[in-house]
Amino acid sequence: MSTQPHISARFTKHVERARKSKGAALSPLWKPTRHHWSANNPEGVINLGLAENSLMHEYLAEFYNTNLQLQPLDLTYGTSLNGSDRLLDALISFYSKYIKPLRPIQREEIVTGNGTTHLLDQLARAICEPGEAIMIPAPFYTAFPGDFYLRSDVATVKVTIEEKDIGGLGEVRTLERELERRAAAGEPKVRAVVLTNPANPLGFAYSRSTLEAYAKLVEKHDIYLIADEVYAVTVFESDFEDPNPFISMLSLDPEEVGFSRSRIIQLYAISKDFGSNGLRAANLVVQDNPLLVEAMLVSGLCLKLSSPADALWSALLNSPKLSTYIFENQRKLSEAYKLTTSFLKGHNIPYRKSHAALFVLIDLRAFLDREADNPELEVVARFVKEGVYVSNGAAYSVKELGHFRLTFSADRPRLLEGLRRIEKALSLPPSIHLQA
Amino acid sequence: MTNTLKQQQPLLSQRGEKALARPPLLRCALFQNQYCPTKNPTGMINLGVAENSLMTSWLIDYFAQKRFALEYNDFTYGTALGGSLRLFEALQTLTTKYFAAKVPVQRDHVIAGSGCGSVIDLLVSCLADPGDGILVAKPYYTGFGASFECRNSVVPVGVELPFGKEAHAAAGVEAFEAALIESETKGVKIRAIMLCNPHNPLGFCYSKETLLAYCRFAEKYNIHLISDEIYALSTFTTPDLPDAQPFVSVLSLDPLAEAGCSPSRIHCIYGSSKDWSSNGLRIGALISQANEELHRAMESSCLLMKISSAADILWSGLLLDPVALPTYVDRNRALLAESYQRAVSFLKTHNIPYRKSNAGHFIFIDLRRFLPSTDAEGKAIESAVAQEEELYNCFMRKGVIVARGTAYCMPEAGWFRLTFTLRPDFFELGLQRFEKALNLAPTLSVDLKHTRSASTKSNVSVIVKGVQEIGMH
Repeated sequence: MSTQPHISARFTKHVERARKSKGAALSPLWKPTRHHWSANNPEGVINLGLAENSLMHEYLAEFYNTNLQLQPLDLTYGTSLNGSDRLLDALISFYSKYIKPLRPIQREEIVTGNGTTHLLDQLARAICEPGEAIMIPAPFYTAFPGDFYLRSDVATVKVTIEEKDIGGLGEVRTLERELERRAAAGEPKVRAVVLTNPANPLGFAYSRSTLEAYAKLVEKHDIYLIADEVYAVTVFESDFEDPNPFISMLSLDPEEVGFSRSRIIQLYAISKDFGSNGLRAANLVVQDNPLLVEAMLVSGLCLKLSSPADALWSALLNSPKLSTYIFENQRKLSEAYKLTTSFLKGHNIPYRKSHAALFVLIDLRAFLDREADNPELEVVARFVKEGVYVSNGAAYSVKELGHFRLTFSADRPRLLEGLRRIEKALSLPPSIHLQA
Repeated sequence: MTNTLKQQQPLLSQRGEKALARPPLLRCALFQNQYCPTKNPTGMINLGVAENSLMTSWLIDYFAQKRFALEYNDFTYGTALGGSLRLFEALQTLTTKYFAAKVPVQRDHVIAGSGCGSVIDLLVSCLADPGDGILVAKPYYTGFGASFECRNSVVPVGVELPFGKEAHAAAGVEAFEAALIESETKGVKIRAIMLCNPHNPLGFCYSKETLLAYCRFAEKYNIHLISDEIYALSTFTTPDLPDAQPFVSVLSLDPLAEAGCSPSRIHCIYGSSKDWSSNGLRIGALISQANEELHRAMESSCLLMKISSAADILWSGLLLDPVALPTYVDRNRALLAESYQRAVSFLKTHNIPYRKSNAGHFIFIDLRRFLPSTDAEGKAIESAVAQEEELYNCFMRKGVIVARGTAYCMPEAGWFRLTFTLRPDFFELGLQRFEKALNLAPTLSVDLKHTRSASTKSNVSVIVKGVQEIGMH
């Protein structure tokens, strides 16, 4: 029989790791979406573990159908491998109203890509040598390490932030201590810090003073700041005390604070604020760094947005109903959050208050089977058995065992049914809050 | 306020710096200066990039009249990592009907990505280690080099075949074998053969016998065989080649029974860009039907290149439309035939030799007798390659772009690739400019409004420099 043809060393490793991964057996990422719950498919799994916002799907579906107007140019390579001028101008206009950069964005400062995943993959290459690292305060969005590592060989340095320091100057000091320790120990160089604002999974917006401290930190240590701001307008009224408004890194004053704009790489996308992850449309903005922009654009053909995605995102951003959309989305999020937190309070399940993004971190330590091999995944298994998925804290590098991230941004029937299933999975009595 | 900034802007990594030195594929001023009869009559007519505009209005109309309906999963991560259930079904339908796929294409055979370039880039990183090589016959599509080298440091090992014999089994395998041995002597391990079938830029289809010969070769040396079939449906009939070899897909073979070759080596690349006149949709796919390990390897990273659900809806919808699918294919073929004849008639009128073809969107033309020995200033040009560059500039100065053969690693300078799939009116104008550039007796009616003026020469030199760096597809 024939010899098996070669698979590269890199990918042999990836496949091995995937095989051995503990989460693999319970990885319901594709299962819920395949057997997706709906009125017509009550057997389907309800996914409250991924950061998806279906509250405005109906609006968006109608909008997309009405507004998809492809031009002949859209079927070609277009006028640029970067997003179309139409999209760049729409982004500039959106930024000026909602991101509020101190200095207005120019076309030359934007790089578009078919998803933040791919942008981060290419960005990691552009700023890090293989084996170098990017630092992220934990807890953080689960997919960052893979985005940096899979093809670009950049490691992630997770730095756990103590509860008392989260969101404050202590967070930045913790990062600095780790940077200094690494430098002294001669460990592989950290080339960037990632700041997700609003935060995932903790769901809050950072204060101006903390953002300024981040800016000073990266300037002092001559590194980049990757500011993931995909939840920029996903903020809502809630029981969170003294919420900060969303403030973009791009709105800080370099002169006043003391940093170079060229270090701030801001990330944005259609995925979260516009609930359309599947369209694959994202962008980064970096000012005063034409070399970085150019280095990214060299991979232009691979990064190029699909033209219908370009056309639809442009249409959304240019829509005269944009502010209505944002307002309506925020209102619905607030409602869904309220329903969810009433449910949690009713069952005495502690949760971390949030006012941004799409989820709430819930404390299920009382429900853990501490004898289990992996107590968190055992709870996830219970959920999946009842037909609902909630993601576990370890996936976000939450330090303490027993916390789970519950997405609440599902339309009412789905959310109600999902919470009912959570009840069943945890053997809780039926809650009055779920009576529709 | 005192400026407390003490540092210069942060650096790029070394590989980031290296990226800057690389000529940007398709990124340049050229795309922003495209001809438009009303808005930009002095803009460039691009006969150098492989875009098919013959079916553009048909497609725009077709897409416009269909309801563009996103399902729940289309908003989110979709129904599969490596594509979508919808796309898998579409590819199965297409390959069964037009590729004579021996085994119906299943979901486990497919990994989709945003453009064939992305898919090949990932595929190569799965099949080869940095420093390894992939054999590919010259001349070859310039983008292969980028896909192999940029992220993967895999070497495209170009193989020179006897001129006119590029499609022949014996000549091909002989040359490939010699190239493999030489390459490995030099320390570059060969991991795969890349075939472009139908061929870019030469426009021929490989016969079944030739494909099987390459399969045997792949088996003998334990390497992979990748068949880029992106022009699969862009074949047409022409009196130029009455017995032309029709398209045969690797998917139609039984490599084990017919060539003693393990099917785990055989990989097909396909996508929406060429046959479907939709470079802008960005959909590519690997179809590999017997290599589970490869599938898992690709799957581990395919999220990095996931296709847009919007593009998926449009393209899959068309492929799954039992009426629109054959209508499109037949009409496209008919228009391709017409346009090819138009181009060939022009070339014959001017006695410009060319490679007869029955596939693709371009013709490989021999302009060696036009190579200028001096440049526009009268200075002598020594090398043939530099002369080819100057001829390219002559075209640019007249407002038309034609792709240089040496960009395809054509061993001899002076060949060019001429795209003929433009809108007929734009194509006519392009040919007029082509005539002017070569000082040919005009055979077409000249519309003075569209003639490029000499006073724009200074703009041209900037554009020329940028365009020289393009890899034309």
